[in-house]
Amino acid sequence: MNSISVHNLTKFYGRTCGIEDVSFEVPAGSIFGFLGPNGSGKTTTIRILLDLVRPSRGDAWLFGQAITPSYPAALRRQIGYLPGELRLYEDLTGIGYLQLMGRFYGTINTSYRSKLLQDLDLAPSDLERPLRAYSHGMRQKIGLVQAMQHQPELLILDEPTEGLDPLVRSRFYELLAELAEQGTTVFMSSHNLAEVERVCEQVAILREGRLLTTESVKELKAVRLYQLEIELASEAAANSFTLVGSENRQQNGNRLTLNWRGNFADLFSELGAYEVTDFSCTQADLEDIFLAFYQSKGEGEQ
Amino acid sequence: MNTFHPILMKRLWQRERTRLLLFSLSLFAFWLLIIALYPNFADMQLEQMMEALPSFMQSMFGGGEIGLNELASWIVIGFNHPVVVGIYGVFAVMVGTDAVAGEVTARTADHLFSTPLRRSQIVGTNALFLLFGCLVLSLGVFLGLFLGQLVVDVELAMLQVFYVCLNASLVYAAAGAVSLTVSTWATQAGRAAGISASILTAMFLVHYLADFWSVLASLQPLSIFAYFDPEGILTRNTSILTDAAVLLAASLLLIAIAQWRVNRIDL
Repeated sequence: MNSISVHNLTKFYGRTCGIEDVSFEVPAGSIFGFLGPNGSGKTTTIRILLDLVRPSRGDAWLFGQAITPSYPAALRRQIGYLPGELRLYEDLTGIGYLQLMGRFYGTINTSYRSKLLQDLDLAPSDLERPLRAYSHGMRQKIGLVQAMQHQPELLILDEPTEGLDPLVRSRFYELLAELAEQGTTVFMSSHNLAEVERVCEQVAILREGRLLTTESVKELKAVRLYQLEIELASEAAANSFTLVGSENRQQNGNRLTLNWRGNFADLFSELGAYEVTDFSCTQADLEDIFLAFYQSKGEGEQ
Repeated sequence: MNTFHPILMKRLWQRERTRLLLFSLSLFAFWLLIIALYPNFADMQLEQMMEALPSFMQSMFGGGEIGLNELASWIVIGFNHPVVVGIYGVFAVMVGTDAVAGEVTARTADHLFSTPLRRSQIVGTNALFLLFGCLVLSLGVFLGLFLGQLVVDVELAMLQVFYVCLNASLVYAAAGAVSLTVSTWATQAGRAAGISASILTAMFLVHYLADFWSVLASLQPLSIFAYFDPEGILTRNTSILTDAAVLLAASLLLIAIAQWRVNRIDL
């Protein structure tokens, strides 16, 4: 059984295309990542799932029911939603806001809410303050509690970890894993590959409104593409430097920037032949990883 | 279909109560002042001044059928005074605009409209709150007049005053319904408020200008202000039933249009 099914979903804003022919399915009880750079159509897709925006073409289904203007309130009660770029009712206190939103969904288990507040490090004294006095991180935390407090069967989270400090972020990931174990489906958008790698089982990748692929995170992880920044002692050394498995090489004097995938032992043995004055290795950005992913797929097919 | 949600109603009260009570208190003070000032002007020769006014302004002061030194005329003037029209109008436009356009502009619509509340319920509850708010404003007017006539010792038929206040509530609730409908079409709060205010100002002017400019006479029934006759209620005991029925029907029609529209838009 799928919690979410989307078929050929297309949305035009006037002549501008928001998303085009997006299709994917999210199995019940899974944590599904919706990955893509800003402006790729993630939020548009999410807003269609919540019936905030109507598709120009195609359809979307939640728990086997088509999303139409008349889709039942009972179905909405099964959904918890955290909007991206969260805006709150500034005149309310934290607890006033949670109570209001909770009442819209029916009865709230207050002990479960307390657990969420504790997990996300929100003190009772924080909740008595008006929301306009909240920092960005605290707003995000209160938004997350709001989305989860009615124990929905489906959590739709748009960039949920924006503004969270690393410790809370880590607790939030644990919370998601707990929820998934209990059968809750989590659909979360992100532009952070490391985050998706850590928590999601499957990922759909969106670029410029089109779905590039739906893959298991394991497969995506196998690409292991890194961005290297290497500073060598001289420009001449940089000119002669070569590295197997590298691409997109850029040179600025004695400084090199390149994408690389391969074996770390080979990398260090290659670097050992040069006088390296500075070195950094980070995960390459999404776009490059997708390209590398397709390249490796293409090579595999040949 | 259930078009009202008590929790949203409570939320609207929570959001608007300070403004609503301040507005109502201002109206109370204004009408108290009107009654308190009345005896000082009652003996003055104001008829000649009245005759010197253009006819549309005379109609604002009771149509010239009653003397300016009569209390009823003062009440009619009061209901056309910019303070009263402004307070009622600002409330109606603000609440109507905030219902949809305000939520979209503040980007809180994602929250509210993704809850189990139906879009039509959100519009319906806002409409009901508009009526409630206008009644609270009119309560300020009524209490101001009631206390004023006790203090200054003038005779005022309070039942007729009650009907005038009720009729005023319905007029401005209809104004709010106009604004609510506009807020489902122009989903930017500033634009929606501007369009609503323009429509209501046009209706207000058409109603008074039509009395002496025949070109506008055919448009007069389209103005909600044509269904509010405080002078008739106070001096001739005119029933408000017909006017109330027209205003209610117009409001219900506008709300139905807003509910139809809100179900078709992207938020």
